Amino acid sequence: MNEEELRKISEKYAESQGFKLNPDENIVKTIIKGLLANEKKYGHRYCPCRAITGDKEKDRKLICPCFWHKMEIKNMNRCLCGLFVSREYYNKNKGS
Amino acid sequence: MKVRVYSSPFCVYCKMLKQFLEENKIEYEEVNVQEDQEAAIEMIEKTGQTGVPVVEINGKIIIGFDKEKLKEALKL
Repeated sequence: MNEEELRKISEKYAESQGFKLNPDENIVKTIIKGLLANEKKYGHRYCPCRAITGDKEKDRKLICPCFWHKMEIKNMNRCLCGLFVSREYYNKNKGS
Repeated sequence: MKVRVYSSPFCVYCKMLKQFLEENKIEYEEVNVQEDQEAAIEMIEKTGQTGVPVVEINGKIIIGFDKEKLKEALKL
């Protein structure tokens, strides 16, 4: 899978859940690269902003979209890495 | 002052935090929690969570890139 394909999948997922991709293109591109780098290295698209223990069972929660993303979007308008943001965050920050 | 940053290479907020430290001429040790699994476990045990960046300043833990907390801890 390439960066464009993963971006489209992520965008479609975000829309289906009622949130958006971060309007900051730099963040989205960096995270997408990180996800693909982790997939290449570890076989899974682990969140690039989380610690990887090497325990596959524990690390399963890190696979994007990670275990915590919805709670984080609800509490701080974005997931930890910043790939997914609330509509409110998107509307406030788009074009900035 | 002992400053340790737990980070990962594709984390934008980690880059922002390191830039902040460098702009303020703060020396720090960096630990990559995606490469170093021992460090990953250490960080999780210290903070109770898996996210980066985490910065430890003389034993005080700050989770995330929080300028105000950093300024206070670094006495800036």
